[in-house]
Amino acid sequence: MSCNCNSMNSDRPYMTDFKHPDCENQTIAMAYVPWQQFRNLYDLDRALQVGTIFAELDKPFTGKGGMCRERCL
Amino acid sequence: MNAACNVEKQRLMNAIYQCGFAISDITLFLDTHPKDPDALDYFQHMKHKYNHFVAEYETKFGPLTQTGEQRQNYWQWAVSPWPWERGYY
Amino acid sequence: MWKYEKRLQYPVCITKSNPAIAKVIISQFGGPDGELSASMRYLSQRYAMPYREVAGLLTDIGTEELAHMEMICAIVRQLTQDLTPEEIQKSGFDTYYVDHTLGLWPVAAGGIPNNACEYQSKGDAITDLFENMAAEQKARTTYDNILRLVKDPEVCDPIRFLREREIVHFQRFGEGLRLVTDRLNSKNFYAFNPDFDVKTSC
Repeated sequence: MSCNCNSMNSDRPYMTDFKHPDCENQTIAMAYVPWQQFRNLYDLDRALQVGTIFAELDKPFTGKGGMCRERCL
Repeated sequence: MNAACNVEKQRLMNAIYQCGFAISDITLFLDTHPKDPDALDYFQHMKHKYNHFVAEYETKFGPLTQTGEQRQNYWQWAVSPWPWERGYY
Repeated sequence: MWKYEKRLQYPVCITKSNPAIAKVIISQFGGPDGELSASMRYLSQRYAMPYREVAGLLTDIGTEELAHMEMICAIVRQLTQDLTPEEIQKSGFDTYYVDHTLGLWPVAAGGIPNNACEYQSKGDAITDLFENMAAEQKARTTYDNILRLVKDPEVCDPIRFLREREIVHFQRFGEGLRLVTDRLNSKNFYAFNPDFDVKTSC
């Protein structure tokens, strides 16, 4: 939930970039969700189908399950 | 209800779902962005469209709220189909 | 007070019975992270929220969750309304049916009845908003779990809609938290409870 200038390297998932030039106004011991702006609206038909008028909030689920078995092979 | 009536009911109900949902989503955005002028404009536009479709629907098919227009001389509010019934559109 | 609109927020039209999936989906009615709990959580918290925009947000999302509860109940009803006693027995739906027939009762898939222990209304603006952000993620995860098990597009469709609403609500509560922290001293957000304490300077 920190600002989105955090970068996660997919080869080393536990390494994070601790330089946060955009976050100097934000103090530790708090979480910050970035402000959404009014932009990129879907037309009404698509908005109802998707579940939001805002394209930037459209985050569908594509998972299938069964990871555990693959990992054990 | 005949087929043409059904098509018309679905058309209006679809428009009400779409405009009503846009209003649901924009009101949450306005709760946290109360002074955003584009959001306020969008809300007014959708509210106008929504009221128009609701008025047309109620004239033809009966009330969507307790105080909405009833065109029959019985208590349509309770007697017409309820939204969880299969086939209610 | 509340007005009721005689329609669902998103249409539900399910033509094939499926008691096995109904047993799972009922968790989003009466389960710990379901729509009823979400609604009661937010509607309870709003009275002690000292910032009006956030009280408005709690009211509006709390109300929307009641509409989602209605959709879930419509889904479960349509999945079960035509069941025969043989279908009920074969699917394992019999343990619910014996106490409720084909009625809707707020319970989790695992059997725990809906109760206020599943949610908190702490009376602290920051704490309540973190509670709510977590609640929306828990609900989203529950919908992910349901989507892995559902094959019928008539069921997937409204479930996907409901899942997306959780993501939107998460963003809004996050913005609500920003509205609260903007009004507090960033040197120490936790110096006092804005609903309860008289502000003093040390």
